[in-house]
Amino acid sequence: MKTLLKLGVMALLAGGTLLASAATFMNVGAQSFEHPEGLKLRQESTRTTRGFGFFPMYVRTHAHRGGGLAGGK
Amino acid sequence: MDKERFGLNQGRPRPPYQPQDIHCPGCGAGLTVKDEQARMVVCEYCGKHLDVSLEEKTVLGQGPERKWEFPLKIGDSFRYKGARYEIIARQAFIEDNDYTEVTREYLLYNPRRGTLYLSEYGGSYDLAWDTHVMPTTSPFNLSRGSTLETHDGRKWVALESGEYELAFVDGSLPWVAKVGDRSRYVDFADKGGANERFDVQWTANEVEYSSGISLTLEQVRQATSKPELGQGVVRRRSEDVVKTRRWYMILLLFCVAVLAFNGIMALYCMFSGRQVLEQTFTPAQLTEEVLSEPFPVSSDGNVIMVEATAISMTNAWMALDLALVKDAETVVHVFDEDIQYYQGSEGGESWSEGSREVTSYIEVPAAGNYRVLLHAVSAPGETPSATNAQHGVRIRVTDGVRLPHFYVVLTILTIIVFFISLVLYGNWRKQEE
Repeated sequence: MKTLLKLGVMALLAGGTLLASAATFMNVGAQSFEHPEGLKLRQESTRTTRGFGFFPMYVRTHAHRGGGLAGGK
Repeated sequence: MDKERFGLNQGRPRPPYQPQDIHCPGCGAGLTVKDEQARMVVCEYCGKHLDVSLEEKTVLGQGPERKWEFPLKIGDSFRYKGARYEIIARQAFIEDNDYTEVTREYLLYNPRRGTLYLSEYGGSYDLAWDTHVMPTTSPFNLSRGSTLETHDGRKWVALESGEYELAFVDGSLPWVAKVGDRSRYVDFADKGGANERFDVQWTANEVEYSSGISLTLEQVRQATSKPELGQGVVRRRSEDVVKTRRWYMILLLFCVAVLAFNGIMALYCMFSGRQVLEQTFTPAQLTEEVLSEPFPVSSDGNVIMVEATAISMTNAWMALDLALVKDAETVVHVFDEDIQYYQGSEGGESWSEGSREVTSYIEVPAAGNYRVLLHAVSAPGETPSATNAQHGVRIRVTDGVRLPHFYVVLTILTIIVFFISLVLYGNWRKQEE
């Protein structure tokens, strides 16, 4: 391995470590608040056939294909 | 008078040596032997090798027919540290029967200073002399880049090793040499980067050590008063083994340092924060919606880690809705997780897929009391949809964490680079130059 390549690898590792430190302490990768202004829990809750609650109003449906078993295990 | 002659520090000059005239028993030519230690002389007229250690000179054999090119001749001068040496013998060594891999060695004689050896390989010159300084460990079987310490405290790096074969000799030698004689060698350079050398050479029953220095072509030109020496000769580019080894060491040490830093930081991040909530929820609670107990976030901008573990869930899936609720009434963040875990055995081997645990990291802009709002549905793996939860969930919230992912990635990357460098260094050490 030539000297320049070794220097390049060391620069890559050093730069990567600096970037990792910056990203970690800037909380990169953490979710930010979806509603920083806030949604009133009581006002936004509703009654559906599944009962009274916040999530039915939030219109989230979940259909699942069965994971590993559907893949033919 | 005796005190003056034999007292301490009353050194006397060495009696001058008178060169010895002999006649070649082969062709009768007159020869002059300048070195009193000479045991072998090559007749410069007929090329016969003569043993001159006995009163009666005997012919050892005829020299090779092949003519060898030497840029320096027998009788040429070589000036070193103010003294004049004279070339009294020349030898050509080859390796692996390759006549292009030739090392030329000149025996430099001075009646008062002892013998020096000037060797040339690929246009690079070394000057060496015998030494009694021995290595502290065996120098044999060392590969390129290995280190060796001598009893004078010096440290050396192995440059190369191999086996020479004497292909040509002329002049007079203080030992009997025959064309075809083989000797193994290991050459070392100063570990600190100085141009000093330490060489070990051994035959079947003898080991010799020599110290020396490498010389530039200009130094050899000045020492021999031959400014044209080496002109037109393409100097073979030889690798600076000490430098290459040092760079490998720097790279490996750098990897270790980076690995230690990133590994420690990854562990610090993994164990950072303080657990502020642990609560278990039943399937019935999750089918409806349920609010957790309150937990504090101690500082603005803290990251909280929310770990959700589906309890006793196997070969099933769960769709989990979560919301972060401030002061029990304001939803500030909504997120969801799919949890699935499957296991079984096939062909006698057990397998598993997925995980019962998921982790989310959320940055909380303002300190305060928060709760988690949960809702879930779950079902066995082959069921495409569900309206109820059939499994419970345990929630853990840790306040003030750091995401370890970046340091973990760097740790893995550094481990890979370290092992690749280690393998390349090992291969480099095994390579012959």
